[in-house]
Amino acid sequence: MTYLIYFREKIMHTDLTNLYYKAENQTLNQGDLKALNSHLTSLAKRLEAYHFLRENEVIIFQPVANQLEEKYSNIEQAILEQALKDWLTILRYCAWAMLINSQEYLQQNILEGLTDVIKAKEMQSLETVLSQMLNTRLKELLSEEKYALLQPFLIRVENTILPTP
Amino acid sequence: MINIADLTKEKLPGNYFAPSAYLQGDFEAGMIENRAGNRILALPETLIQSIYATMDQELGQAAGLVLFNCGRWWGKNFYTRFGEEVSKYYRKPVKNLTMIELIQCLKQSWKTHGWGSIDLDISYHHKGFLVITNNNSPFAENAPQTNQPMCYVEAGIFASFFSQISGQNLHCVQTNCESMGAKSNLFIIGLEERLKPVITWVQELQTHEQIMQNLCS
Repeated sequence: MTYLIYFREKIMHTDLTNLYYKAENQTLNQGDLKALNSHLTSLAKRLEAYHFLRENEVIIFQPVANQLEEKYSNIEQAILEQALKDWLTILRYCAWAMLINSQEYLQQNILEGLTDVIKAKEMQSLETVLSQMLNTRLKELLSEEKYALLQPFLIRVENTILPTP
Repeated sequence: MINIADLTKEKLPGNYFAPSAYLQGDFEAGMIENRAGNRILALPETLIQSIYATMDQELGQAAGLVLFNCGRWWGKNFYTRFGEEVSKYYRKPVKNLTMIELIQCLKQSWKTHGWGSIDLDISYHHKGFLVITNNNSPFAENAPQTNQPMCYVEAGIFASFFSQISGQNLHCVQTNCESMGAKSNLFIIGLEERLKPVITWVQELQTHEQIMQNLCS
């Protein structure tokens, strides 16, 4: 039982959790079952997108790294590498947050810890350009449907750690 | 040339102290642990209130000093555990973390343990002082309302924690407290000798801003 609670709270989607609680008191109505069905269909698509992001990190990031090196040839390689590592981490967390459909997970598990660190480096223009390059690359590689699943999480990241234009 | 394949082989850490990852509970055993497997002690409000009441009854004016020393001891152990966990997770000793990484870890750790939200103001560092703001402190919330700051335990923790980071024997005095109706709890950290007058200024009910002005003039 403990494990189930742990699993439910940490891994399950919010919408699925709501149905789980509702089903404890009553049978689910037609609308709930429709929502469950749409949730499961969406989960399959999210899983596909997650697989793609997991398997293609190098394909996604290498051209971004090359462009970045070209644009910021005056900046030390170690600084560029750290920025790329930060965004690799961010994309991994975005992918998982997308899979479990949790903005809260993204906020707590990466953004709260990373936001001040990135802001303190005072490399905001580099971060902004890197984010734009990554976004363009993801749009090129992901289908419209998969990108739409990931996009709310990328927007959350941009709104949290990048300066307002 | 930057090789992404090499970068992906490195461990890319997230927020070690994220509450959902850091705190784990076994409801049947009534036990809370952190992600390193160390037991966590839950402090009920009643216990905090009772500590204040009992210390006041038993020790009177010395209660603050005793609580401060408890905080120092707690802070010493907290720093040790914090150092072990953080260095293991980030795969480097605490002293090799950048200042901002260290501060960020402390802020997250503080928040996840339920001690409030802290912010560090380093703008007085050239004068040898560090100012810490803590909001939503459970100690201030459950302290008796007096005209003096009451977060002695936290002051002791900060004194001990920053003494160990800096390698100097530092002291900490609270200048503002939520229990007095203030917006935040404010603490000044510095060498004990230099902070001595602050205690008098706090007793004279000078504001934090006045105290900082006196200290830095």
